[in-house]
Amino acid sequence: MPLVANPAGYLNNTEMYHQHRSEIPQTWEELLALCEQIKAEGILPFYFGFKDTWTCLAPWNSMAVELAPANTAKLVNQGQTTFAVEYRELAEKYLQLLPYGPDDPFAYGYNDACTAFARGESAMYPIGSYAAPQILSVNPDLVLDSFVMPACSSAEGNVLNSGIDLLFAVSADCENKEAAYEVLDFLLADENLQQYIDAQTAIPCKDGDFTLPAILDGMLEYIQAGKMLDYQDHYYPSEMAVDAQLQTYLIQQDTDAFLAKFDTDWLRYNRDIIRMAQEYEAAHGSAGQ
Amino acid sequence: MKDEKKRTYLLITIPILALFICFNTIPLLRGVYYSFTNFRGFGSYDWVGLRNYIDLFTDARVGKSYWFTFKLAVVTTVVVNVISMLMALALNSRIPAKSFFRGAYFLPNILGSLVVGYIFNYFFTYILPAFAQMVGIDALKSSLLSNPSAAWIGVMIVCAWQAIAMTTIIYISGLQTIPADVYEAGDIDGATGWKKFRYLTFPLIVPFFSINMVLSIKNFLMVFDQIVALTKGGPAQSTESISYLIYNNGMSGGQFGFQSANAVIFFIVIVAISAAQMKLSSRKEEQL
Repeated sequence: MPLVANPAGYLNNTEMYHQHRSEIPQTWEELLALCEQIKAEGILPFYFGFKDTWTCLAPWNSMAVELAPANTAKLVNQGQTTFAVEYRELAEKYLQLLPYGPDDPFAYGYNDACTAFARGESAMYPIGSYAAPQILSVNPDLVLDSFVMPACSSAEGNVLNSGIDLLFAVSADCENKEAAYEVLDFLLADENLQQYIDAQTAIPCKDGDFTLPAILDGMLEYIQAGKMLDYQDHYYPSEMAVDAQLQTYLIQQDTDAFLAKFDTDWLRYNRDIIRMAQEYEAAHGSAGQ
Repeated sequence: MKDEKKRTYLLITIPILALFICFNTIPLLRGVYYSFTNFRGFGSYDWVGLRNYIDLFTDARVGKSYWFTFKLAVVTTVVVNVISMLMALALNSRIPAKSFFRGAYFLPNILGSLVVGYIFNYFFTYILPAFAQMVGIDALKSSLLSNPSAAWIGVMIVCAWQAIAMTTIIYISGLQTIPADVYEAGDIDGATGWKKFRYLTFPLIVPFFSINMVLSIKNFLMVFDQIVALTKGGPAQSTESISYLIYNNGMSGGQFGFQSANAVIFFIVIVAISAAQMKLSSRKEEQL
């Protein structure tokens, strides 16, 4: 039972941001121009906490939904394409963000980055809305906005990166199913869900009359229009450690080596899944065609 | 009478043996079993024969973690033993407030290594770069832990800082076993300074030297807490120790079977190294 989803783009320090610009960038070029302008005024555009490798995935995911097909993983498993083809633009654009972050982003972890952003050391922080409670715990007076990361050259290409953050499952051989359902009913009750949404800046996975947190206003039109795509990293096997590979890539900045390793590692770590998928498709036909 | 004694010994031994088998031997054997499967830590799994072992030898990440771990273990062992030996000599000589200093230098050993690691983490990330900025040392202006080719030095410093305490205590107890008349005889023959250490002190504390070498190497090969607190294996996977890789990928990375194979190999490696060390150093021991 999915309970809530979280959206990821970038968070804005509203006050700092509006001192410098009122327009929200709609394209990749506008975003870079804005960063350039903020930087010229002596302010750090982005903060990064790349010492915690998983945070490397946040900007990656939010740009991947716009720059790579949503079913990239499946297409690669079927042998129809490679990551070197689908991810090249994404990888190259990611590197272009680095100059707008702190000098040594690999020295700071997620907590450091949240704290620094909360204290106004940067105008924006590319991370999911789930970071908002932690940031506000450092500085409760901070006003935050959140926006979709624009990675394309046209505003039509913008998509919100959002996926299920919290779900519950009752195992088939559970002995007390009734009791478990009672807990789920409680969690799913409108007033309880609303409380969770407010505390965690989340999006409910249930239809109903919910009030979304004001922090998500900048993403509201995407949420209402359903212009959302899931995190691509939900398909990455955790033993492949794409987060650490991304960190390595951001340090070494060798796009070819990174993409080549991505493809070889992918085939190795997914061989059992690829084999199972091929067997399934041979028996049942592919659902996607 | 004799039978009764035997029974008492058995009564003491059997429960402990049972606990050991239950919590050590059986898990070890289960680990060996899982190393032949593609078990992810949950769900169903298949028997894959030797695939995990073959993969181990072609996996660059595993190779890198072995290289890092051995580099760290060897360098830290040398650093720790040299400094500990010097400290032991100093703390065993006639200095004022000797007990206080011995107590003070032992302090790192009783602190939790995670706590120490987190404090050093803050030190390396914020205090050291700020200090370097102040005095103008360019090389240290960015965090030691964010540089893939230098992060291991940070880990080494923390490991050494904490391990020196115990190693020093073992050397001090070694120095106290040397009878004074050996030095008196040496004085007559004119042995002073380095010669006194080289030909009198050191040969007599070789047993303590060997136990320190074995303990150091073994402890540093299994380095884990410091990695968790300092780098979590980063940056760029440059500080993934073998234990950390086994734990991280085995428990949360869905590689339980594969990392079990890694653990089996690592177990064999540690046993082999320890046995070789013991054999080598037992030949050099002097008896008075």
